[in-house]
Amino acid sequence: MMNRGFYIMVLLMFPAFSLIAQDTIRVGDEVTSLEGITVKATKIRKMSGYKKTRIDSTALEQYSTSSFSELLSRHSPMFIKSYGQGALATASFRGTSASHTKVLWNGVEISSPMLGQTDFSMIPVFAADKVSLRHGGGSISKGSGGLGGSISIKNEIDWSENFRMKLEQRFGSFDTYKTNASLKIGNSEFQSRTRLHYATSDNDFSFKNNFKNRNDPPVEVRENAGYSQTSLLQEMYWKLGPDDVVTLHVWGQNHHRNIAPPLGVNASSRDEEQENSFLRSIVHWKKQLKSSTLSVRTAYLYDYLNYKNDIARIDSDNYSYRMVSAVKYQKPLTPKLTLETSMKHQRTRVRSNNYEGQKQRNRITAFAGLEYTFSKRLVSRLMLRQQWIDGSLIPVIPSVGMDYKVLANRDLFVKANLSRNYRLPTMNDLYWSPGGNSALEPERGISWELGAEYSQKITNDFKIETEVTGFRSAIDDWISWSPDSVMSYWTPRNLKSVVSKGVENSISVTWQQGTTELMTRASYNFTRTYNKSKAKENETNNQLIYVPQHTFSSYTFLKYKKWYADITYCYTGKRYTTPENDAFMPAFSITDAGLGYHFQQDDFKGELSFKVNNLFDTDYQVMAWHPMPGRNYHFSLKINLFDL
Amino acid sequence: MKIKLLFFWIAIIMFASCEEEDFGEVQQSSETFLDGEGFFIVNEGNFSHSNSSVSFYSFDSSKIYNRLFYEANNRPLGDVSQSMILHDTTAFIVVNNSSKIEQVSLKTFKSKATYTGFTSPRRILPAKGDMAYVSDLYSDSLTIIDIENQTVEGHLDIGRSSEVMVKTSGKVFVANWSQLNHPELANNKIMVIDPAANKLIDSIKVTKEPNSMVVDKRGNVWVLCSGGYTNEETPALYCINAVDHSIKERIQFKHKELNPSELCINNNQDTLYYLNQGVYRMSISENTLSQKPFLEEGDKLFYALGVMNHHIIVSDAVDYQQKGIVYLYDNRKQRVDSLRAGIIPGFFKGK
Repeated sequence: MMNRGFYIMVLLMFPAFSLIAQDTIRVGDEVTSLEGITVKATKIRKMSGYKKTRIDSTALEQYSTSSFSELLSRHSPMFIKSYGQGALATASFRGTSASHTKVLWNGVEISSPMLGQTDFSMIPVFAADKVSLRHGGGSISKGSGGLGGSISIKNEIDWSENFRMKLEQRFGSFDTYKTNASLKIGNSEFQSRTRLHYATSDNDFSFKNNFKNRNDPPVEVRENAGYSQTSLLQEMYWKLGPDDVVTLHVWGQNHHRNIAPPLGVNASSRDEEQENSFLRSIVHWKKQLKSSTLSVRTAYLYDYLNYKNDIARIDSDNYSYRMVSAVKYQKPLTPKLTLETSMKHQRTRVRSNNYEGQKQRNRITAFAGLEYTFSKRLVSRLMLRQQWIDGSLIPVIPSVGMDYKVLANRDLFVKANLSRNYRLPTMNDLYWSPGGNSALEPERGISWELGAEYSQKITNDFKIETEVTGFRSAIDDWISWSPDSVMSYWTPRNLKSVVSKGVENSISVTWQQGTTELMTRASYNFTRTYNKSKAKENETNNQLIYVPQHTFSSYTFLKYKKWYADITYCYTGKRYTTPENDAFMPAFSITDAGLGYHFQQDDFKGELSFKVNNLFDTDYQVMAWHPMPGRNYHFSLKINLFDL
Repeated sequence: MKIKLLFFWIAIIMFASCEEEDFGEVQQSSETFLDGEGFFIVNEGNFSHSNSSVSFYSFDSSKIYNRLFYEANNRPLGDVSQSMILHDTTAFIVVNNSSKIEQVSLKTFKSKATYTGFTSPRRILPAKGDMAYVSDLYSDSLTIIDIENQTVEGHLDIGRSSEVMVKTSGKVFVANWSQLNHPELANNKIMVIDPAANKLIDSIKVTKEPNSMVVDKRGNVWVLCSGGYTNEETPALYCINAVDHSIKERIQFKHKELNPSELCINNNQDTLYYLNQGVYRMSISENTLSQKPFLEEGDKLFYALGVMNHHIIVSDAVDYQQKGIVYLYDNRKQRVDSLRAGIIPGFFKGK
């Protein structure tokens, strides 16, 4: 039995490794050669036909003092464009751009309305209890515009506990200090949790300056890269009835960052800094009616961004205000057919010294989803989304998906979906002055995916889950900025048509015996993305810049009695830096390793841990000329006090 | 069994991690060829991407040689190169966003000196003897450098941002193109400097945003003004008497929305060329603008212009990400060649 398990694992992992070794593979071959890899869970599937990945709680716990950019770069198939540790970091799915990634917090979109993007190094993992990724078309269930996918960050409360206090302090290299504190009090009718996160870092790591000399780069210290962050999150939950809950979430944050210039840009002539503050609040009421569920949500979001560059005499203030109201109603119409409908109104107001006056946008969305269970083995889902933007209609967004359980007595599922999507131009695209183009059309995307999931219990305490998904998406009217015809300023236009296709594979193995636990998972992604519009001779079929064709990551967690150890390994393939594909950033591999010890006494639980990031001291840059730190360490102490 | 599995896993990780690799941007290598007649192309590259470069087009071989600096020095040139001049056996390349000037040997293109200490350098002009002025976008002063001793000598305060510079009648004329330093001052002046005394001696009011300037064979200074960033004024072409600083001619363009740029003059210094959605030309003895372009723009987007010997060189930056195209025309408007240079070809210098 054991031998078989080992055999299966090696067999399943092998294609992934051999693919990394060879660099030139055609997509067509890929899909066939990787067949048979599969996945995740046996839970009741709510995502008929769509791929959803959950970031497991072990990872969230390990990264509790880090930012989302660190978490996602190690524990998700997304590519994180990181402009240096602590600096701007954006995330993209499946070869699309960062503005095609929607980010939701408790169901409310939090991506910047001005840029349409999210800076993940500003989101502390501490603010999240649950993180899930919806790839491609799956994002439509949560909103439009996620042409690449969406990330959902949720808060959840445990009603059974009356009291819990958590304190965590981390000390790390480069004068990095991070503090988490949380206090949860309540009973079965009311719960309150307050969390505080404080982080500060000089971030003055040393790096090799390859701008000065490629062969023999001098070692220098990164300057003006420090940051500090204070984040406060308050949650309140009232249980009005057994299935009748009102929730209040309020999240305020301030983040200050000095911006270190890329190598090659004279540091002494730049003094750039950025300040971001936000206040987000959501009131949510969810009630289980006789056979249906009603949920009402209203949210207010305030965002402030200041960018300052003394030399260029830029001091730019940007404010945005968003008001969201939504009603959702879910009802099983027949035992086999479930209806989900929702209406949403979103009002966005932006005030910026880069706009001519205040600009606003009203968006009304109607959504209907039907889930039909044909049999125990076949479930399908149809979704329709209709939007009105400032009174004008955007074509309806349809999506259809299905899940099929191939074998009656085995957990082998095949899933497929086909969807359309639109992404609205951002407020900057429309109103930036000068250059904003209010005549822009939304970007149009069409995508499909086909995947298989397989999970197998080899023995009672040995389980393998694997998944493979192939996808293709085409985005037309891709918005891109370039100079206008008289060359006076840059303006956005619906220029490109981009095709993205590829394969995502993952496997995870869990094994447990007595006090020993072993969990290992790995994923390999292949992404081919190119511009198919034949604008101005040249370059078609070339890989888009900064989209790695190959990425691989693995995570191994071993627990023995009170000790645990974990190793994270990430490989990012080469990324071209020019549309002609004649210059590139070389591939890099990063390994992180950690060791921890748990201790417990009555109502007191503690954990000591030590972590080495970039164990092999690899010199690397994710984005050209933005150095990343070499080997660095952190030490942390966690204390949990609770009522038994 | 499981322990084996774990070791197997760790072994793979160790193995994969132990390769020693390059970590910065790797560019395709290209040949370097600098002999004979031709012209240099300064490719700006993208802001903050440190991907500017210098190319050379050889008339002898009709070939283009890219990334000269990277090949010769094994490091990138820097961030946003703005301009280039030739001086004896060397060339000076002003790298704006790296705040430096690279002095390279014309024979090998190897760096001989790197001048730093600027804020946002734009152009360099040898003014008198070994002394050269460097104009600066974000500074109120010109930087004075000694190109013999390769040192920064000091600054000359002119009270505003500086851009294009020309020298004639023993004086240096400096255009104030940008208003960024002083939003309260209109950016519509040509500052006149006496390099012998190293002093600002006069200023001439023109239209907003003087973006390019040349000297004709009579010693007059021609200035092309675009009228401002948000089209505040109607663009105009000026002819200035370099001796008494009087305006000899002021020729207005048709309307405010135009954005003429890149004023050039031929080797005989008797014919002007400029861009205005197409290449236009005009004799220095005329005083009206031609209504028809000398070269139609078509579906191209002309970015920079150069005129040398019997050729008109014009670039198209395409989408500002891929390599820009350089078109070569002869005097009879015939296209002689078209080539891919570097990213955003923004400046030409004949050799």
